[in-house]
Amino acid sequence: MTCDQIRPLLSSYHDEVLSMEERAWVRMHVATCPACSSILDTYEEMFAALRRTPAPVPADLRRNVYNRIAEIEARSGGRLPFSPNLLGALRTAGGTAGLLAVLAALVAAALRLSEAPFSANVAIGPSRTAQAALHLETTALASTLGAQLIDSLPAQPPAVQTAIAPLKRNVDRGDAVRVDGVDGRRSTASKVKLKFSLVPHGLVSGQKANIVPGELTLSFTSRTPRAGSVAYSTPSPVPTLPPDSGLVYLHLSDDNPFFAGRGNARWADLEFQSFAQDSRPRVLATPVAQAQLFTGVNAAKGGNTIIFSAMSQDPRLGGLFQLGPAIGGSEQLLALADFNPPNHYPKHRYIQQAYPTLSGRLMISFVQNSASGLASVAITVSRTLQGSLRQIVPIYWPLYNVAVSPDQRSIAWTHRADAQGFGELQVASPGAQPVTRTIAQRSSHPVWSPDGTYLLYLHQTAANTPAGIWLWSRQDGSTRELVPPDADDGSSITGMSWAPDGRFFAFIRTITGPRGYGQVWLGDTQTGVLWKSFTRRFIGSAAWVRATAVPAQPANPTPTATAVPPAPATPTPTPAPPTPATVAPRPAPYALDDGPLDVLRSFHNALNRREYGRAYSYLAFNDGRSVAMFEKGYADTKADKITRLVPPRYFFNAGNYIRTCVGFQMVAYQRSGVSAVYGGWYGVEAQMNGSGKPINWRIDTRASSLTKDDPPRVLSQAACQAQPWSSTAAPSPTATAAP
Amino acid sequence: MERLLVGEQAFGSRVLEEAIRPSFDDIFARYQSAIYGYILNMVGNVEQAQDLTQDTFIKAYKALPGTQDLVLPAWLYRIATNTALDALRHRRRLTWLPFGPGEDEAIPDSEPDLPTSLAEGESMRLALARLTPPQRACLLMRARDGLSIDEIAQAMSMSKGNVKITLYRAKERFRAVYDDLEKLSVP
Repeated sequence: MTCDQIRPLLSSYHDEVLSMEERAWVRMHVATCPACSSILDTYEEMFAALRRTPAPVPADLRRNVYNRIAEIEARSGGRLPFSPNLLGALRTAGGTAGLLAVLAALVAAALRLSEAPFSANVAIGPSRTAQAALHLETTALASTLGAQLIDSLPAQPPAVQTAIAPLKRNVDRGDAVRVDGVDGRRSTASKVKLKFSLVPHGLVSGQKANIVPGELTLSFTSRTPRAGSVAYSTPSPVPTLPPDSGLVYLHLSDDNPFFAGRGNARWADLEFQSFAQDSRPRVLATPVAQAQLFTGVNAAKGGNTIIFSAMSQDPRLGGLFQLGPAIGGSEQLLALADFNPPNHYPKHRYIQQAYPTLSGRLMISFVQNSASGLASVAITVSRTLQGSLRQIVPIYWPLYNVAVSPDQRSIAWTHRADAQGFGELQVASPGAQPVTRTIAQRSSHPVWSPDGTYLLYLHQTAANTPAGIWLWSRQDGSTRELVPPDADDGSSITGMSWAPDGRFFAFIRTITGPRGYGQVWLGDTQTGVLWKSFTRRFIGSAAWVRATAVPAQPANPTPTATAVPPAPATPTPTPAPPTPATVAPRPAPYALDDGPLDVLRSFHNALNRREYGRAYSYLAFNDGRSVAMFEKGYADTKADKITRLVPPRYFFNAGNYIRTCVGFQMVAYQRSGVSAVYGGWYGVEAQMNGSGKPINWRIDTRASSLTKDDPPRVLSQAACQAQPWSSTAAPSPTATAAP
Repeated sequence: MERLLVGEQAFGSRVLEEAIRPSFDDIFARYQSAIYGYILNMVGNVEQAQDLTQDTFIKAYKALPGTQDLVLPAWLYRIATNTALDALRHRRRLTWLPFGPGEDEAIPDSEPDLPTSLAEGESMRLALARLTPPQRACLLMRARDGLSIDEIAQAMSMSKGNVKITLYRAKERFRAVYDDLEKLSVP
């Protein structure tokens, strides 16, 4: 190979995007050619210089950007704040007197929101009269109540229109009462008669018997108040639920763990709330901050056991866990380490679905996404609850939402899903004729009833419209709609769970956005009656359980680990003073697939940005310090500046890992004004993925050595190999770092 | 790509996406410094860089709700790159403004006590000015902001091969100028 042949490859070599073969050519050539070697060094210097370019963010950038956003929002019609009094009234309203109070408050709030020139006196009910002088604009009230005014009235001012939408939403959200089917009629110039229905707590539109008709006449003049009236009747009761029922669900906090600076943000807690009136949510389990994500929850054993899955790089924290009153905290059923960082979730492997089957085995469907972007689902059964996994059948995309019936007689899935995940809903039952049946088009997310005879699923009656919940019967193959799509409020159905008895079910309607929330609804598959239960912000996966399944006191916040001993404490040779530690909750690591030099740059960049959690995540696994201790080690450091990086001339393959040593030199600037030069080498390693590509470059501090006032050291392959690498192979708790 | 599924009731995914998906606040907090630095080095003018950084984030704010596959940071760099390249094109049409220390404002130095940064910054800025805007964009994203070739390809709407070639040309051109200037600047 001549220089002319190698030169065009040098840039890609430096970017580490050459094939293995090309890389070997370049490496061989560079080792003997000072000219090409110096070009690589210059590239490195150039890059280092570019990284050092200072660019302090202008102080007013944030203010300017957010001011412009505020202007944009104002132009598109901002939201008006909602009256807290009304919400309070809606929540506390009980019987008939309550309903009246609610209506009065509703009217009052609607009126307060408008800035019209009229004033009016509203009197409600034959037996009670409430009088108040209120500012009123008829259109505001009528529209608030959803009325179409028949006579032509003055067009609404924009402020009124924007006030109506949130008010309507909050009326719906308040649970106690919902105003529905309003018809407004303007009888005289100064009088508007409104006919409407009141839907008290627990009822929904479509249930004729449950709707309370009402009538309200509003009179107004610009000077003299007059009176109106309203009529109502008592609603019929909601169906009786099985006693002691409740929902276990993932409650997602507003915090997002994937961004540095959010500290120890928790993600989703596991919560329980009873369906009984006035019950409060209770936290059952909390994930280990920055290291563990709860991904799903399910009921087992007739609603008497709670099983949840978690994702983590630590096998003690990932896998399946069981929660029950007999177990002191949570018990790990299955250890499963996720080998990709959770901020790149498409690369994950995780448990999609898991529950004990009728035969007592654990049925798991398992998703594993490869780095190439292809994913496979394996349905796996363990022999016992605490056992190993056996793959029954691998399933490749484009199958989605694979659900195995609890009796293992059938599998349901979505085939050829569109971007929203809706496609053909198919069910396969071995032995049936034909084996695979298509149940419905434009459907998704099948959920089997506990006895495996029914399937709840989402269905769109037309493409790209909101979906409702449908029911399929295995016995006669019939389908029918249980829950109509609710297009009005922009909500969508985001979760379903069967009650253990196989008759009732729960589902969650979610309104997304900054003021979004999840509304839990309950339904009866026999009568079709639906009613509202509680609301909670961001409800993820949910499962209907019996209260007896819920531990009496909050579980140990971290699932107890028995399978793997804790990581050993490890002194480290990084230039900042290391602190030995005991247990280290890991921050969410970042993928770094570029190369051994990049991880070092990123590591020091992160340190200079004071993103210690991020820097920490670039360290190889067995570094035992906590992030706080790690950060403390840099208390005196103002900035690190990398002055030399010597690209590796070799790699050696250590089984699943590829490793190398990078010659390194830096200047560490202390806060005291003192600076010091450190030099030596960093041991850097990456995992090999299935296709032989190194992924997840990490710094192994135990195979690294930096010494004050030393030049970068280029280790021979043998010397690098002999470094005390800490990962997987044989971590010795007493091993110390290289000098 | 399949959405993240949640347990058996897998369709918590939309909620989860909402939760996983970074908000505009997150994106702004995390990337304001990087994007500003990137644009500043692209256009070489502090005031214009401020305006273009604002434009970039406003565009991102408007585009965020409709974005299906939010791949950061490539998505944001794509907006920033288009904004900067548009501005450079426009600027060339209006008037010829050389990219260099004489005509434009000096880039303020945030860490004046770090040695060599000013001299180094000068030669670096001169060398950057000799690159074509796409070369400059690729080189900055790769060297300064540490984006991968894949990410740069997405941000530039280029093939990966094209990015590699552009980077190669950028590095060679940059090296030629930078080497000379470095010799001058080191006493």
